[in-house]
Amino acid sequence: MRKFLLLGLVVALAGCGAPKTEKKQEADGKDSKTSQNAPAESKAPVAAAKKTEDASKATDAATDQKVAQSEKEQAEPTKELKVSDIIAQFSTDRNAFMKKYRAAKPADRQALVENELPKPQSYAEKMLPLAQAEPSSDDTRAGLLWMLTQSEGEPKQVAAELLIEHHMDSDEMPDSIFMLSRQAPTKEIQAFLDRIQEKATDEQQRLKVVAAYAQAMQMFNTLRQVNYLKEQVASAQDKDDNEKELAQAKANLDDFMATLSKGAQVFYETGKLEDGKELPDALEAMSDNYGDVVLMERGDRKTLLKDSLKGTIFEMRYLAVGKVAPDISGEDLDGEEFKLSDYRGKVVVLDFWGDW
Amino acid sequence: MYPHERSLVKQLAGQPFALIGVNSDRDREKIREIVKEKNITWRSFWNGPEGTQGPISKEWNVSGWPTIYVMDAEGVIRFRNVRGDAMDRALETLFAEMGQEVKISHGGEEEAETSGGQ
Repeated sequence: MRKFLLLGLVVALAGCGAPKTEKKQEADGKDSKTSQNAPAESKAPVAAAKKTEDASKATDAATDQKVAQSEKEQAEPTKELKVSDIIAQFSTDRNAFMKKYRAAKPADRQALVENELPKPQSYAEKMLPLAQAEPSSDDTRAGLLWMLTQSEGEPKQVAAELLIEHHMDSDEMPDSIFMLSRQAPTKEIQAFLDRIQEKATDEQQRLKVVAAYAQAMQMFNTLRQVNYLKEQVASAQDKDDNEKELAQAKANLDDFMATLSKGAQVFYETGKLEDGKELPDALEAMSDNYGDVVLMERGDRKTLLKDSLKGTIFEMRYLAVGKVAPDISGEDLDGEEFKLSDYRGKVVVLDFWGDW
Repeated sequence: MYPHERSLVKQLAGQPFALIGVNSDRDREKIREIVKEKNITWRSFWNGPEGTQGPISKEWNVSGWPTIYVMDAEGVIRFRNVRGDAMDRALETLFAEMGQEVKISHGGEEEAETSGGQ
């Protein structure tokens, strides 16, 4: 069931996109932030500068086109436009982009990403006045969550404020907060979750617990991304004559770490939480104290905190890289018993699969 | 998935290597047929009639399919969720640690399959 949640999260929060493209998108976002500094690409500065210029021209063109399009939409019944319409529009635009991206020659793809990738920020900015005009509707709540996770600066900040001001009481709020578990533990989101816990009343205990859960899970879920960035640094260090690649890899890691909350930075540097505790121990304590809190509800299926954490704690303790894999014993498809440890002495690929 | 895995199993036939599945289809009879049909030659645990909610995937906290773990000869988890090229490189690294130089490549998979040569 977490599989479906994940899927929902990807669709709802990130639009669509192959992982490869998402990585490019991140890199693209970083480029635009640091464009006054040295170009990130290892191309000659002149070529890179020209590229940036071309990119901004094309972006202007794309924006004009979008403005024209939205003017056309507004010519119809103007007042009807809702926050969710803009999210839907983002999805549509992103899908159209992906289609184009896949059809493009590999050599043209980078330029396509730079010039035409629909950026959540501009959609969030369009949502902002709509959300402010009607801050307490359910439609706006979903939009605020989108803005909180997808945008930067004003829309992100306003979204956090409006959610806390208008939606703490909403029955849907804990489910929405649960969705934040897969986000990176950035300064803003972690601070938002801190505030939820501070503001939650005794009647809002579920919300409080879900917020604490989301905070802890963000640490765990983002570990892979941090490890990946660290590995890139390590592999650049292994190579000779690779100062540029090393500098880039270090910058990527540092840039990402700089977005994270203090607690997350400590966690990724020391492997422990800010208070010195181990993450699985902290989760176990959470499970002992609040285990019967409903983490999420889907139809008549409820997931209790303790049930969800059980697997996660096991995974953290026993399934991390560097640990001896726990044994599996079971039946093969013909009903014959065997064990994973029967294959000691061999390199083993264990593949959880299904034909669907 | 299957072509890459088939190719791996074939290429690494002489190496200290095993591809082990944990199959999460609910219907064992049906999956046995599919295994024959699609020439899935490697062994799988069956995750039971509960499918994706079965005991093995539950214990391993699997929430997405496929999920992949790569263990070295000592049974130590060394890589998680490596696919395609990344999996090939990971395996080469582990074989190199065992003193075996193995180069994995999947060019002309189709041919290799019909020629049947090792």
